[in-house]
Amino acid sequence: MRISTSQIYQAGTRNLLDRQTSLYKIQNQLSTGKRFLTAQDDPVAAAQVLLTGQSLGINTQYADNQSNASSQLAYEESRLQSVVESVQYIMERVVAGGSGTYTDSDRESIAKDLQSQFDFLVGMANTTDANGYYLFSGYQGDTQPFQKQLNPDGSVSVEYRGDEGQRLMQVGTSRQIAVSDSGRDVFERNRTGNGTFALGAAAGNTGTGVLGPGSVLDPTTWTGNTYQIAFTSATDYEVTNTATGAVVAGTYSADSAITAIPGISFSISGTPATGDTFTVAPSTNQSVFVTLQNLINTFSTSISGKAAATASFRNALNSGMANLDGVLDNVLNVQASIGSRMNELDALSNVSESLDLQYQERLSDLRDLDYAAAISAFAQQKMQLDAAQSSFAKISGLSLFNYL
Amino acid sequence: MGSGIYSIGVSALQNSQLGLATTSHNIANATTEGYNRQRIIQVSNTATLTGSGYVGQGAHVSTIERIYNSYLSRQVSTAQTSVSELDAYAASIGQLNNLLSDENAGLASALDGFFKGINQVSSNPSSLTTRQAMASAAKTLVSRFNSLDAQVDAQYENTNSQVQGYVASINSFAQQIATLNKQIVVAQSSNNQPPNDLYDQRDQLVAELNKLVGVQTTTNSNGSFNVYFGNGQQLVVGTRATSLSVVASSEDPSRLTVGVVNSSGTQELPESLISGGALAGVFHYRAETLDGVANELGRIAASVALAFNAQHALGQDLLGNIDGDANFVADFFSLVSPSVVANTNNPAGTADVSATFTDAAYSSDGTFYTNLTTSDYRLNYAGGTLTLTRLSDNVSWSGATIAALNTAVASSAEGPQGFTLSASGAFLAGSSYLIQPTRNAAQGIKVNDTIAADVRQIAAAAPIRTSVGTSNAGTATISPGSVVSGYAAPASGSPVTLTYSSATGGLTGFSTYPVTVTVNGVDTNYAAGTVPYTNGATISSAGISFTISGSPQNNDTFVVARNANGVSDNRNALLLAQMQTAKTMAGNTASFATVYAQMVSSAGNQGSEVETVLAAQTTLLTEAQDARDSVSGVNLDEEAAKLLEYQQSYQAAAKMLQIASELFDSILAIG
Repeated sequence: MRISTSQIYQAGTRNLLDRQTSLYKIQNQLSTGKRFLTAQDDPVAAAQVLLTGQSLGINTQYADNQSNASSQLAYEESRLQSVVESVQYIMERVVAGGSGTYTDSDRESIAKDLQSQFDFLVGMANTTDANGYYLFSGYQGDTQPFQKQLNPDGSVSVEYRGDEGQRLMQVGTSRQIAVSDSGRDVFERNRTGNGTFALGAAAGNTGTGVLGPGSVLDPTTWTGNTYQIAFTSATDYEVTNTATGAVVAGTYSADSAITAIPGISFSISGTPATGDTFTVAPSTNQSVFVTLQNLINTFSTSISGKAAATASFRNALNSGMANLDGVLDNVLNVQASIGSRMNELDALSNVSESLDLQYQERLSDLRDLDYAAAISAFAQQKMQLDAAQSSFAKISGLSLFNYL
Repeated sequence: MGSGIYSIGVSALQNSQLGLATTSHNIANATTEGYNRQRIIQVSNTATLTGSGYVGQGAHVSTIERIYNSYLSRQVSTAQTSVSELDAYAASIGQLNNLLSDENAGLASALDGFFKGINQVSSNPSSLTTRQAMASAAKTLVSRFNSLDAQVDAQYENTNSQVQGYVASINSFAQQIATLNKQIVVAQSSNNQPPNDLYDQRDQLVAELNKLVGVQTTTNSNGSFNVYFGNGQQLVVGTRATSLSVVASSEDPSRLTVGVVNSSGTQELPESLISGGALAGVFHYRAETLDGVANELGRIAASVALAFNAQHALGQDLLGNIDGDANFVADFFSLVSPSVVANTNNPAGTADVSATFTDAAYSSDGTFYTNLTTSDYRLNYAGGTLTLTRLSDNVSWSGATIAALNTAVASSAEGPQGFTLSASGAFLAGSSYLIQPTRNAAQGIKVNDTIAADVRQIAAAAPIRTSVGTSNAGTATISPGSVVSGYAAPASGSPVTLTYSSATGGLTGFSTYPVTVTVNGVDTNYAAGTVPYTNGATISSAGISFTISGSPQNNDTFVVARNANGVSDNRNALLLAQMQTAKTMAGNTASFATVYAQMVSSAGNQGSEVETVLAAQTTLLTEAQDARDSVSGVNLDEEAAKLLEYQQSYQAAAKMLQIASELFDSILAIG
């Protein structure tokens, strides 16, 4: 084949340029450490990098949220632990205060002790978080949830001003976890009595009847209505279902179980007087502060040498203790729920960590340069360029004119 | 006898000189672009008949021809025009891909940052710091949209200026070809010898022209060329060149295209007629890649704004304002309306058309999404019918009025297109409008000024909250509740209290709105009044939904109220944050990030496709050029050999004259 001189030069320069372009690309790869520099080099990987990058970012966000949620829950848990300890202390004092050897002034000092615990619990219920927002006010972070109020009769009550909202945090693709509990759930949703029904003695009772603990025999037959037990004589009583008006008569015997109400049983000890009444009501929710205030009132009342007042004191103490059990149960329940949420967060955080690793690896696979391959390609291209240069120099030096 | 030798010797000298001159010309033009090597065609003279037979009379050069193969040249032209087209395309798309692939300048990092900001607000909704951070991230996102769009705009500008430059060059080449045609006709007619160098120059001009726009040529009998481009459009006819001009497209005056100047004025050429060459390359780039990227960016911007605004409107800001309150700002982002460009050839007085985005639709999984496409649309009015055509696939809808057309679009199998049209005035026949729903959205997206100035107006909370009555004896609970667009929250201070009655087994207390109870996906509607209680059923009324589950007791109450003072509530922020991965675009099928990734990948694919085809075409061009050059190119060694050959032949001829002279002298010496 015939060849023209310009072809030799064109082919020579073209080859040199091609080699240099390849070297330039590899050099760029080597210096950036990236497999491709624009989406044009590998469109599929470029799209994958964007999506994996987003997944990585979201996962990091979830991990941040998880640790944030954990620390908020840990803080709440520690507050609740203080509440539990306070309630347990109150229960000890109440049990001690029930001792028959205590005098009115002993009980008065217990009342004072309970009052300081009351104030402590109000403080706990109004705890603020690191940002200064109330922990137990639901959605209303800057509304003080528990406010003391002086009632017209001189007593102090604590009213809940928050709501029932739980603050949530996104800790996984489809998992939001509650990082707060409302004050109502923690401090007010305490079941009275034994959780099914609560026993009470009328304030004006003149006898010495003291209610014993009640028990649920058959929850399915328990009607949930309020019953009144009225003593028509020292030995006879009538049980009235206040919802239906149905009346059942019974004969009183101290300490023996009264089973006239379907599904439950309880007993009365002592000697009730004619006209004394007792009630059996379905359990309701009662604020810890109401329970405590009642106990303080109970301990502040003088009973020395008064039989009826002592019976009333016993009844109030029994119901107060039952209510305190409800308080403790409820707080422990919330604590358990926090514990399980923290466990879940731990598990989620492990998942996030391993996902993070996976996304990083995936990104690296997609984006990062295989240095061994690139360096060997670089050496190869360099050798080719050397060969092209030296052969071009030699060929371009060949000319017949050199011999003329 | 002697004179015979003389004349033969002289002819031989002349031939050698011509040979030397032609060889020198070849050597001199060895590097001239477009030069075809020349050679002398030497033929022997007619012999003289003598008694001894025919005596040769030497030789003469009949012509100097160029070594030229029109078939090989045409192959080079074909390959060259396609390489030039791809080259122009590749250069432009390369710039675009560099821009889109930059991890810091691309959209992905700004989107991530924005959603990170929302997440921070949801972690700490009452903090002004996190709200400020979110507003800043939103501004960053918006300015990223703006800057990406500005760079795409710069590419449009660049395309326009390229078109101007190419058209000017095409006109110049056409004029030069016409001039050379004239010179060639004159040169050829005077002595009927081929003006080789003029041919080469003209071929070279056609080759250069061919790099700008694909042309075909035909040769006239007088040696002049006719040059055509596109679909047989005349560019040069003999000695006359047609002038092209740059005109603003009648459909979209912001883009420049090519027009032909003729006696009746300037006529716009459809871009599809231009094939081959750099001009076609930039046209293809603009129509195939740039429009797609500009529309896609706009579609993401519009979808971010519309979907985000729709969810934001369902929230409550830090000041306690909700939708319907005077100070509530529902729209977090503001957008410009879709662009509608009236055709410049529309009859005067025809209707004005405008378009608006439709609000984001709401899917059953709780995601707001848009139905926007990346296509442009054309609205035509002819024969009393309005026809809207989606230009990407030519799907069309029609209606007698704009309202009928909007209905036809919304109810068609294709589904809504994410925008609606409106018109003022009467349509005149022959009116046409170009609708670009998303073209300007990336440029026009902004963070609402009121929100940017007062970040407390970011609606992170939900507008309602629920609670169960404090004295409830039962254990039933109520879910926090959610709202949908158009909800009616209970008035401040007068919550809706639902009371359960064990006698009727139902709930009462609903406001006047009808109630829908959903059990396992089955809806049952009730007028407000007594609504039967079903454990775990979703109860919806007035756009508010909640679930009551558990066992209520008689007279238990459930309360739905305004979320007064709900500063620590982050429920709406959580929903906003979830939009990052939700299917918010393309009719509830893709998320923002997947659409962006698809766009980057599709532009990258087009780029790599162009590069691949360009490489293949370049190889073809190289081969065609090699084939042509191996025939027509100058080889210096060959010319050196020819120099020697002609030099020796010259010396031999001179020797001949010397011998003739000596012969003559011998004769004279005898005398």
